[in-house]
Amino acid sequence: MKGTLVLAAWEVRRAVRTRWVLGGGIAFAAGASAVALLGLESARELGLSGAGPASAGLIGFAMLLAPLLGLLLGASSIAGARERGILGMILVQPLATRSVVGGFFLGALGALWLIILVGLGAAGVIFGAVADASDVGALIAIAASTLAVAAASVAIGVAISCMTEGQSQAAGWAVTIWFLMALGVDLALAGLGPSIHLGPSALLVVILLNPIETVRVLALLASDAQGIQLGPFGAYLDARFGDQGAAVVMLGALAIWVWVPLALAWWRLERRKDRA
Amino acid sequence: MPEYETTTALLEVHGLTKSFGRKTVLQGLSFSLQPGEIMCVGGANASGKSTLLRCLAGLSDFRGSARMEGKDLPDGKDIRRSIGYLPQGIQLDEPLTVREILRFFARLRGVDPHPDHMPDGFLPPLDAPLSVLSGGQRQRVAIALALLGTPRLLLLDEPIANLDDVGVGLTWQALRTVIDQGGAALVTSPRSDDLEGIAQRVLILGDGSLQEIGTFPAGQLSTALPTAALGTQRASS
Repeated sequence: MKGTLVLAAWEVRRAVRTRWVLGGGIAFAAGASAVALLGLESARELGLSGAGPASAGLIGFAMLLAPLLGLLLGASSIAGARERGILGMILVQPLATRSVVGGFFLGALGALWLIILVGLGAAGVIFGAVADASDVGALIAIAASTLAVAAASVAIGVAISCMTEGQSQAAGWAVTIWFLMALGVDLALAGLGPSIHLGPSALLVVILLNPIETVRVLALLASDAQGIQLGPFGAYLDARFGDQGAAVVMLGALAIWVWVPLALAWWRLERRKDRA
Repeated sequence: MPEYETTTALLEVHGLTKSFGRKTVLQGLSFSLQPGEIMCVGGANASGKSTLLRCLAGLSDFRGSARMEGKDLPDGKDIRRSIGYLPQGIQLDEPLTVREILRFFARLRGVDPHPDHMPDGFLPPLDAPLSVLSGGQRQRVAIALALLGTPRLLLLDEPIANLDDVGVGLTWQALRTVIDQGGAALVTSPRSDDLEGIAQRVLILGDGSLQEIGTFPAGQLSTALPTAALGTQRASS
C-alpha cells in the first residue's frame, strides 16, 4: 500500500508541475462558470429562483468534460511512463503489479479531482450568490457525481494505457471512447430508440453499460429522490428498485466500472510479454 | 569445470531464450556471475544485449531459467529489492529535482535516499531540476537511482553512453563501491574495451547466441573478437 501511495503522490505532483492541473482547472472553471451564469440568466428570465433550475446545465457540462479529462489523464499515465522510459525502472522496484496500477490510477484520479474541485468551486461561488438551503443538496450531488464519473473514466483510461503501445495511440483511443460514451450512445438512442421501441428495462441496461449515463442518473436521483426529473424511467426505477434501491444499483454499476478496467489493466500489465 | 559454473554463483542463467514472434533474439544463453564480479555484455548493435538485461530484470518474458542465489528471477519483492536496473537511453525528463527523484525511488524500494556510496561530484546539485541538466548529468542521476540501496545484482544497460571521461571514471568508482559489498554487475556496452580494467569477464553476443565468454585485459575485444588473444571459453563447448 505504501508503494501505491508513493506512486500516486508522484503522479499528482507530476500533473501539477506539468500544468495539467492548472490548465484543466482553468478550462473547467471557465466552462462551469459560463454554464452557471447562462443557466442563472435563463432561469431568471423564466421567473425561476434559486440555483436548482440552473444546475442541470452544470451536470451536463461536468458529465462531458470530467470523463474526457479522466480518460486522457488515465491513458497518458502508464503509456506516458513507458514512452519516457521510466516505467521499466518503476516495474523493477519491489512492488506488486497491482500496486503499480493502483498508484497510477490514484495519482491520475487525485489530479483530476483537484481540477474538478477548482472548476466546480468557481461555479459554486456563482451559485452561492443565489442558492437557498434547498439547493445545497443538489449542488453537493453534482460535485459527488462528477468525482464519481472521474473515477470510472480514469480507470478506463488506465486500462487503455496498458493496452496500447504509445501515448498518442492511447490518447486516440481515449477520445474515441469518450465520444462513444458521452455522445455516441445518446445519438444512437435518439436515432434508433423510436424504431426499436426500447422499453425501460432495456434502457436500464443501456444506462448501466455506460458509466456517464449511470452517473447522470445517479446525480438526478440524488437531487430528486422521487425521480420526477427522470420521467417515466424514474417511475420505472422507483417501482422496480424502490427509493434507495435504484441508487444502490447505479452505485454498484459504477463500482464495477472502476474495478473491471483496473483489473483489466493489471492483467494486461502482468501478462504483457514486454512490460516496459 | 569452467570457473563460471561454480555453485556459489550470485546469478545463474541456463538456456535463456527470448523470441519476438518468429524471430529469436536470444538463443539458449547459459552463464553465471560470481559475487564481486563485473561482467561486460558486449556485441554489435541489435545483438540482444538490452533484451538480456530486460529479461533478467523481469521486463520481458523468456524461456529457460535465471536464478539469483537459488531463487528464480524476477519473482518476489525480496529479489527485486536486490536488483538495480538501468535501462538504456532513459530520458529522466520528469518535472522533479534530483533530490525528489532520488527520494521517490528510495521510497519505492524502501531504502535510504541518501546516495552515500556516490563519489564526490558524481551527482549534480540535489536541488537542481532534472529539466535543466545535461544528458550526461541526467545519466549520472539515472545510475544513482539504479545503485540506490546497494543492490546485490546490478543490470546496467550502456551506463556510460552519454558520459564524459570524468563521468565515466566516477561511474566506475561508484559501481566498484557497490560491488565491493558483495554484489555483482552485468554491464552492457557496444564497445567492450570501454570496460577494460573494470570488468573481469566479457560475454559477447552475436546472432542471438552467446559467442564467447572471455577475460580481460583485451583491447582487441571491440569488433573482431580475436578468440586466440583472449583465452576465451567457447560458449558452445
